[in-house]
Amino acid sequence: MLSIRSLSKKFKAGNFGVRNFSLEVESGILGLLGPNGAGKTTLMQMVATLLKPTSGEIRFRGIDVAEEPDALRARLGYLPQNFGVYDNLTAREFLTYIASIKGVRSKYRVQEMLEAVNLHTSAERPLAGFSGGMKQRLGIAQALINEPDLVIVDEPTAGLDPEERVRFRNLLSEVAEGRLVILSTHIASDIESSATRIAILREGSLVVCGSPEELLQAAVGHVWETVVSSSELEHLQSHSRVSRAVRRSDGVHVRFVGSEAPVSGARQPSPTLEDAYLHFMSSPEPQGQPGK
Amino acid sequence: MRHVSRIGAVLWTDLLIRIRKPSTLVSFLLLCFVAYLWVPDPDSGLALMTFAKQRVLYNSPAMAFATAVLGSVSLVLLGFYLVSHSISHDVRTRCGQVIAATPTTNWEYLIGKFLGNIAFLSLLTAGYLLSSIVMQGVRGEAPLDLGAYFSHYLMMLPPPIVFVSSVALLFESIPRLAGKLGDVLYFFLWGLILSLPVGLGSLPGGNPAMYFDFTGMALVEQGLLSQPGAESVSIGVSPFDPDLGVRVWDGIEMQRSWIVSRIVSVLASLPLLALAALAFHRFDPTRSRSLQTPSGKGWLRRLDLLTRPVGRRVGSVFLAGSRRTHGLSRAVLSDAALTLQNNPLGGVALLATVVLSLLAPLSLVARLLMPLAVAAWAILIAGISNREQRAGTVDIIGTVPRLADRYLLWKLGVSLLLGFGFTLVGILKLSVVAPGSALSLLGGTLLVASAATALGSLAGTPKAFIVLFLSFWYVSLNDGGNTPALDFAGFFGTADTGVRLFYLVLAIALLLLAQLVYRARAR
Repeated sequence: MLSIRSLSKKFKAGNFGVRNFSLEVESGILGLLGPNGAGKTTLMQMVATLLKPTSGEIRFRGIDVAEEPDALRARLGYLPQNFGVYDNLTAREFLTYIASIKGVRSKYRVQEMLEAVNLHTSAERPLAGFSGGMKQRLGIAQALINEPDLVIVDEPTAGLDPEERVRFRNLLSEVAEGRLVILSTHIASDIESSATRIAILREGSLVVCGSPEELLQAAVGHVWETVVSSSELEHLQSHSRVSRAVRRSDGVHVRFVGSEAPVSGARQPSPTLEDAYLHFMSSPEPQGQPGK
Repeated sequence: MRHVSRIGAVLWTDLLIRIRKPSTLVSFLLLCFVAYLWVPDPDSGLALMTFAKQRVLYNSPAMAFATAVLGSVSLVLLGFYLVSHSISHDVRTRCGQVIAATPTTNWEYLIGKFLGNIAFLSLLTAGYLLSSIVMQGVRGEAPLDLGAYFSHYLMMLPPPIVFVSSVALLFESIPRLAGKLGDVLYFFLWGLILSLPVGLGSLPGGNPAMYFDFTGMALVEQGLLSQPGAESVSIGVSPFDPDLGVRVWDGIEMQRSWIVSRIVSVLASLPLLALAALAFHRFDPTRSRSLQTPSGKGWLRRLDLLTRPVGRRVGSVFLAGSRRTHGLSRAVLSDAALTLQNNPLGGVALLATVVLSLLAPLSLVARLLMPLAVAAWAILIAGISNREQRAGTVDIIGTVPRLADRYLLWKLGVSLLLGFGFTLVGILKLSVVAPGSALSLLGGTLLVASAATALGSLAGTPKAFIVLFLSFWYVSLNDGGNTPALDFAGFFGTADTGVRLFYLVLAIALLLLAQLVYRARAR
């Protein structure tokens, strides 16, 4: 469905936003995971035809996106990071505007989307009074209004409360049926349960891409848990990636990622996606596929 | 069909957003007030139009002609500031990125915005026309002739509406011109547009500028040439000699060639739209980012880097002072330091003004240096009282003890502190030989600081203050002190105590209004 080959974006200042990035994905949810500045947004902006690549190729269903951007744009839904709205419009007016811009002909589609994101009761209210979560839901509604084949959502859960995040995740899982959803985040739990494939980026390059199960499997044997004293914690932090440290009466309960345990008596729990993420982020070289 | 639908959607949404802004209502009410001011009661000794000090009768052709001319000149200036920043709004909200990811072409988007500008300015013009007609009902001295109004307005106003709609988009499409720099540069472009057609009118073989006469000034000159007393025509509020009686004037006689020149003037604006399409960034993040943060390797950036050490040094003087104080004075000094560090050119201008004020002869200080210094200072402080709103740091200010309650006082303090940096040496030098002028300069500094604080806070952008200040500054300098009431800062030494008091009251009134609105918003 989406094929990215040797994609690079070099900025005027000389730094690379994305460097030699290659990926092939079919329908489902592709989660892009990486720290701030890893190149997630740059990559998404290039796929969304906002930014021209310096080199490389993006093909969607065989069509070269650089040569025929409108062919993709007609089938694209995009929700940018920190999405704002026109405060003076109502939700219905805003969606009607985006529907016209996208060439949506059905006059019922706006109402359908308002109901899908549960904003139909607030449809006539000015957007200035909407909460962050309501604005994000409106954002996803505008992205889906043209029934796109490719949906790109950039950090959609930033600023949402836990309940809104769960609702948003479920909504994306529903819309991913038969289409490709690319979702970027730096919070592993946002995609742990919903993504069909996860790509981890670092400094503009692909570190690894695989299914959540594959990534978790690759982290088996690299995650440790133990109870240490405060002084041992310092030693541990300097030798491995600590993913969690909780102070209790019997000492500090530590979970860390590393190829071997720096302290004796550590046990190996089942890795979470966050553990897998830290494992791959601490790897010296990009791996492409997990296990390779 | 889809092209029309997309253009229509952009147009309608743009218009809807603008109509619902509170500033549109304010603009509309201001227009009505301006129409009221421009048609004074002849018993006051002032008239809308005079020929060699002879008042023109308030009949429909004269009133339509004069109000259309004044409307056209104002529209080319104010219209730009009213309609610009519509693309920047899409950049800020990221709605532009959503649009860029759709099949909407650059042309569809820009034509939609262009027509949105035209529709909005036409609505305002219609309101102004209505106000002028109402004013004839109030002050008219002859029966109302609607045809005279429509023909004059149709002759005068379409070229400025189309020109402003195009040039605003062109400025917005070039990231360097999309902010404060563009706002200031446009003011000087307006001066050029206003004077060039009239200046070229003296060329042998006709006036080529007739075809690029966006304000209609060349047409006005042509139309009045054959009229007796045309060597001294005044349009706008001006005094007249009642002993000369009243002149019945039936307006200018429309000629077919003028209609052609007006149509050509409308069409001449359209290449600006094509240029805008060429320069348009289509919300490419690497290009549109500079709308908010200047970067790159352009001349402005180089100048900024060149002046930064000096600007920072000047700013550090205020910063050092802030460390020795507490409370509001500390906040004032810190903000002044921040302002100069953000605008190093302002720091250089401040330093240069102080040095030149000390060295230059008094006449030069009063008539040349101070007007330039006040303009530079005004541009520097235009964004101070709305910086937090634009940067989204209002809530942070709210956490500083008692600062939010004294927000306007704080911002006024910063503007005044920087203002006195520019004018204090001038005030002191003037106080020795011309204490009246020194008082006026002191009052002018207070007025400009108050206006910048009040208008900046009310509008939430520096734009409203910049345009109003520069217009007033331009009129004041052009007047050269002939009208004492316009000598707001004593540049020409003609302002008397009454004028000084008036500006003092105006400054206080503006601050009170801003404080009322600020409190209402805070609730």
